[in-house]
Amino acid sequence: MLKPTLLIFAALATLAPLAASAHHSDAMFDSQKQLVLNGTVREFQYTNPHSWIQLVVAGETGNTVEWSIETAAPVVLLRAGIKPTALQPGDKVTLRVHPLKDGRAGGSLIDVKKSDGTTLSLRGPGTY
Amino acid sequence: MDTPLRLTVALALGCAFAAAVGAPLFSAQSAQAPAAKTVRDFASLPDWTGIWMGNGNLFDQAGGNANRVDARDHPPYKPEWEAAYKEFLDTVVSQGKFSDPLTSGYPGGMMRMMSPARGLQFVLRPEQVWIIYERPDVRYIYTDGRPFPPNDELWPTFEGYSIGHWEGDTLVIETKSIRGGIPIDRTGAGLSDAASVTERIRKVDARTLQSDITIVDPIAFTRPWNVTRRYTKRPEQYPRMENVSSLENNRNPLVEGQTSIRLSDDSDASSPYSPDIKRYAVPKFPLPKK
Repeated sequence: MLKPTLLIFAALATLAPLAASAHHSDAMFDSQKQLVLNGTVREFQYTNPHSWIQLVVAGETGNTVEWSIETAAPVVLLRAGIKPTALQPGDKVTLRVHPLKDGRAGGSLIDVKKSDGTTLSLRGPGTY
Repeated sequence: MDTPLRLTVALALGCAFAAAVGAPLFSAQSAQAPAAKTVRDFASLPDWTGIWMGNGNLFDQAGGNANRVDARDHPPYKPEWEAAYKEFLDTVVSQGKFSDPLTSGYPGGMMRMMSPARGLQFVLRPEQVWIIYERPDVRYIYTDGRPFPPNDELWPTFEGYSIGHWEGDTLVIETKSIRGGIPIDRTGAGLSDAASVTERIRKVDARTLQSDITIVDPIAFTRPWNVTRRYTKRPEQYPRMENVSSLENNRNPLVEGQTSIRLSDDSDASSPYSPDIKRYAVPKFPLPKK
């Protein structure tokens, strides 16, 4: 049973998601907080204006919570080398996200670590 | 009538039709006046192929954030416009309640689309230049020598009406009839309906287009606002454009003026994604059932 680990950093403003600022204000996300989610991909919505990772995370009492994690538009992901096939339903992944300020099960993606050790991140040289 | 004869008759009729309709068309075309002198020969147009990215957001060359008022030059507003802008910043923007038209699927419009966080494509043709944005924006720049239409044939639009001409390899664009009040960035700064824009765009090196922009707004500004933008060519061999539609799968609807988020959480009764997440919130053709 994995519990979302809440890590709070003081100076993470530079890690604010690049994607969110392009479509809407990112005021609803807490750019000062980082949340680490271990879970299973239910769906990777490779869609405009934002892509979403639907991640099923096991709770402490055996229940599961589905998290909705927002990331960039497909063309932005593609330019960072993240293809529609990058995440498949059933993939076990670790996500770092900026959580919603209101505490609901949502956040803005920082990066993805897959079980094979590969990392998907928008902060590559080809992205802006 | 047997088949070969029917075909022959049909062919004959077809030829007669083509002769009757086509011939006058051809002669009308050949009788047209030669193209205006300002129209460039296709082969002489400069090479602006590729996808060009704005460096940073909006009127900031340094890569600043569109949400920040200090990330660019301040518009030279007249006092009453400055006061309205400041009030908007204090009561709306700083509260995170700015309703960005882009978020709701509207075009970026002028000037916003020319200071993009996304890609631009410049399609150069002798009679027109098309500037295509990765949003629902296209600018049609008429370079066929036409003047602006008379004022009673102009009305404010998101992209305005643009005519252009070439000075060497510099494209000079004049734009007016821009719809006033469209935010030029996420701080809500805007122009009036009376604004006109001159852009001088040229390639300064293989990977850089530079646009020297002058915005004249006799209603909102005390003086012309001069801004220089640069666009950087994407490095991929086969770069790709996409319309980043805000309507395809928009899970960030505005609720009471504030950007919200649609989750899959069953307890979120307002969510159309609950309990089953719909891949696209787009009206669909009813596909045959399997």
